[in-house]
Amino acid sequence: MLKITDLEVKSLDKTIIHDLNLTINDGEIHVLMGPNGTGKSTICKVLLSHPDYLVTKGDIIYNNESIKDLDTTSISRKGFFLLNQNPIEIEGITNAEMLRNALAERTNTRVDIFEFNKKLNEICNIINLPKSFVHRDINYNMSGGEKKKNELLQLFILEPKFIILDEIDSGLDVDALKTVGEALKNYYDKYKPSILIVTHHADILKYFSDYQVHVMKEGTIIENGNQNLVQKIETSGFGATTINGTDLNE
Amino acid sequence: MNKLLLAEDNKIKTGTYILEYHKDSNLEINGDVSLFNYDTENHNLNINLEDLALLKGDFISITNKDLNLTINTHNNNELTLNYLIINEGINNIVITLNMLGNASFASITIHVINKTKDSKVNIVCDGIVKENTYDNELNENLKGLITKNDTIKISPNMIINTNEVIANHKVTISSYNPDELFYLMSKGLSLNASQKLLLESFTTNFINEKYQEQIKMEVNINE
Repeated sequence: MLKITDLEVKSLDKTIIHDLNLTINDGEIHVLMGPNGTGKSTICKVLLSHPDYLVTKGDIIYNNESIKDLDTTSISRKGFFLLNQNPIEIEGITNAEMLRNALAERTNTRVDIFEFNKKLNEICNIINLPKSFVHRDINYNMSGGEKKKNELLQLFILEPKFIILDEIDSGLDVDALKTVGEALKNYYDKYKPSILIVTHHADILKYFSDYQVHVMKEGTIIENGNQNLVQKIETSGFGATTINGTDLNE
Repeated sequence: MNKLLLAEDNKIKTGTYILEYHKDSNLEINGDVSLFNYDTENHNLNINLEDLALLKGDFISITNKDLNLTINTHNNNELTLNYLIINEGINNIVITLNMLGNASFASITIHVINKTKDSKVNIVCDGIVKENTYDNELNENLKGLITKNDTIKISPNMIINTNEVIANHKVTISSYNPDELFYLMSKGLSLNASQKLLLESFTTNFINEKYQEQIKMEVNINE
């Protein structure tokens, strides 16, 4: 279980997040929505201890242990996986090279190359990604859709327990969205991880049947709800909508 | 692939060569030539491209003293040089490209790191295009990666004496990219393993595969 309490986050002395509370039980799916610049992506990075952000108040508890002062590697090894809206390109390091190193370090053993390649091939079939991507440099010279699928390849190999999807649906065409959505559902059905989804649209959510929704404004959560809240936002938008008496456009 | 033991003066024709040398040398290039050079003995080299010559070079210098590399192009040459410098100690390295004729293309990519934490390397890269020449193109891309408490200085000089030329140069000196480190660590790699991968990438990805394992060993040995 992840429990965020009274969280305050600053970057360069500017408060980005304040008074944020959120609990995500094991196997639950939570959706963060809200206008641009409200701190949704910041939360995603803070959970992985991004060095640009400083937690100045509150706590982040995962399975009864505070993780707010842990480094990125330690948090990742507890089962966290962040899929960024615009995954970085790293020229000169292949997916296979990075994943082999990551697995070897996690397990403190040498990776069985035969089993590793077999699994990579299976995953490429699931997410409709050419097998050659395994040996391509990380996200280098890939389209937006290919980058998202490439990240999914890594997700299936690393088998995280807590997945953070920061606008995974941005830049995806209809077919790519379907592939990504079905792959994520496939993973969820198999492993039942907790998932935090940051999105502006309901398209990716149709692949999940049960989720809770939170609306952020100016660095904190101002509204909690369910699928109905998503429909309300889809219909009226953030700019013109008043949710539970709070005008999001104030 | 031929191994070429260099004397003081040498002339080579079309082919692929691995350079071996035990003294400072002069090299005349004629035809379409690929050169591989893994130099650990710190020699100076002057290369002269004859008219119509094409040279593709992958050079690696593991150096603990000053070095000079001079290349002269003449007419209708094509030069692509990828040069990795792994420096130890306090040294000056001067790379000079003289474009003396017309209608030649030159692209030089240099990556440099220091082997030990107190090392200092000063790279001077001069691209000189002679007066009254035309239709030449010169591109220089120079990168330094600070990995320890070391110092890298790069001076890219373009001395252009004609209007009819395209010339570009780019220099980057930086430490590890924090976004790349965060990305790799967010996949579960340790800081050390992430830096190691980025260092290997910096030193090997622009050099022919033939030398990649040797370079990785060279880099890893000195962690």
